[in-house]
Amino acid sequence: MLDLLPYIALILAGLRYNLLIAASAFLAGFAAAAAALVLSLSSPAAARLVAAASRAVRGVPPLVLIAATYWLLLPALGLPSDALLACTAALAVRTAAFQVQILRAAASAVERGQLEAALALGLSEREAALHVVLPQSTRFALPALFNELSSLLKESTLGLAVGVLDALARTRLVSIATGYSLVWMLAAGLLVYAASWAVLRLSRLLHRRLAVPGTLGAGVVELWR
Amino acid sequence: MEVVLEAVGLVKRFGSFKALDGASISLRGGEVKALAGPNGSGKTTLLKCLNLLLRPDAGSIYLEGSEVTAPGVDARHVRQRVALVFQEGYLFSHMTARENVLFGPLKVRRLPRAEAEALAAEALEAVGLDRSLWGLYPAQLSGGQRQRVAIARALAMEPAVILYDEPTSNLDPLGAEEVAAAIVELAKRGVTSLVVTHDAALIAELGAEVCLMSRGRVALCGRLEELPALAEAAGDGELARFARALAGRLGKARVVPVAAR
Repeated sequence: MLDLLPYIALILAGLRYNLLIAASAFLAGFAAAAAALVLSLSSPAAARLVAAASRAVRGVPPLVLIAATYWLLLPALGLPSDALLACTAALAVRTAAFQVQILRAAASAVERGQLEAALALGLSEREAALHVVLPQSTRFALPALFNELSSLLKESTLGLAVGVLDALARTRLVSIATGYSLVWMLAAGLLVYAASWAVLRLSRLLHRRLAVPGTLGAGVVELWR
Repeated sequence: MEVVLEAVGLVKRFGSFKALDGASISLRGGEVKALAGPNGSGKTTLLKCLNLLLRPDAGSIYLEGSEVTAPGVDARHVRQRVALVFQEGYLFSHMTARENVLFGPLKVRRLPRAEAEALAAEALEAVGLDRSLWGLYPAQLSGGQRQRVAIARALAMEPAVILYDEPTSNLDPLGAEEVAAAIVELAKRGVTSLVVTHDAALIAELGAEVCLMSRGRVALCGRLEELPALAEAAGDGELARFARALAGRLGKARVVPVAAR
């Protein structure tokens, strides 16, 4: 049993790549989606552009996005083809395309009158979208956004295609070295499951922290407890 | 006092419907006017045009002597000077009462925080909202409390005039009374106000000049006590019947049954 420990440590050390890719892609994707939402709420032309870009990205398999970033985009930008960077950037673009859809849907739950009230105070449309619509739609969208984070954790294992030595890539190496591939796969599965569970806990914590008393989001938290 | 806000011959179309058809109104500094009229007569559209939330298709609006409907005038500046309180209040639901009132001074006027906080506290006190409620979110407040926060939010902008759009019509009697008291209090302090309302008690309490709108025009204006006579003189149309009904509610009209005429 003891001689298996180094293998387990090897796989665990790979998990940090999954966490790093998922977390940074999620945050970068959210920032991009939030900016795209604010822009598209304040300009119809930007709205059309954002919708078209989102549709295009959502139609491409994530593996193709990662490969294209690694072999085409990064060299074209004059950057070194770094596997970790390529995987993170590609997944950030992919999740931004989904997150902007999620935020847009949630924005339609914000009272129109509140937007009018903000404009009537003298705010520009962009400021109103940023200060009034975005904070509320983000709260409404938290459960769906955290689904994205959970998906990213799993999609991050695709980094293996361009050479990221993540938990899954290491599991493959370990099963080749030791046999028992099914056992090792199950162990890696449990590991990723534990990470997903941590994401869920984080989501509930954040939801409770950010919930506005007496609103839609707060009601959901009550049901969850 | 000189005229603070004046609209001349405003026209606003929505498709083929003329919501405003030559509406004119003026407010002197410190003056309080009530504006009533049948549903669909253009009251809300007039307020939104005065605030430049809507652009009138024709006509002119003068704010403190300068024309704001002229090309090149920044609508956002006008909106800061002409505050609008909506029928539903429309507080920002992710902010506490205090944050709602702070929002304008901080984000729109970009005042230093200490100054903005002093203004917000002053505004919340002016509308009589108990200090213990300042940290609550809109969903935790009653309708009357919410509407008073909305008034405080407008007041904290230190506007030249406040426009109210049926501020008491969605409230229970207690809430309506609280809101009416706040509006009357501000009016006494000299806040220039235009109050769109059908609330007879509020009109009576304001003791203000009443204007009546009909079909997109401000059709007649008069003191409260003149209303019955004006209603008589207005003949038999929709406006006259409306004026009689309103005067009747004010308890000062000789009500002539329509059937007897």
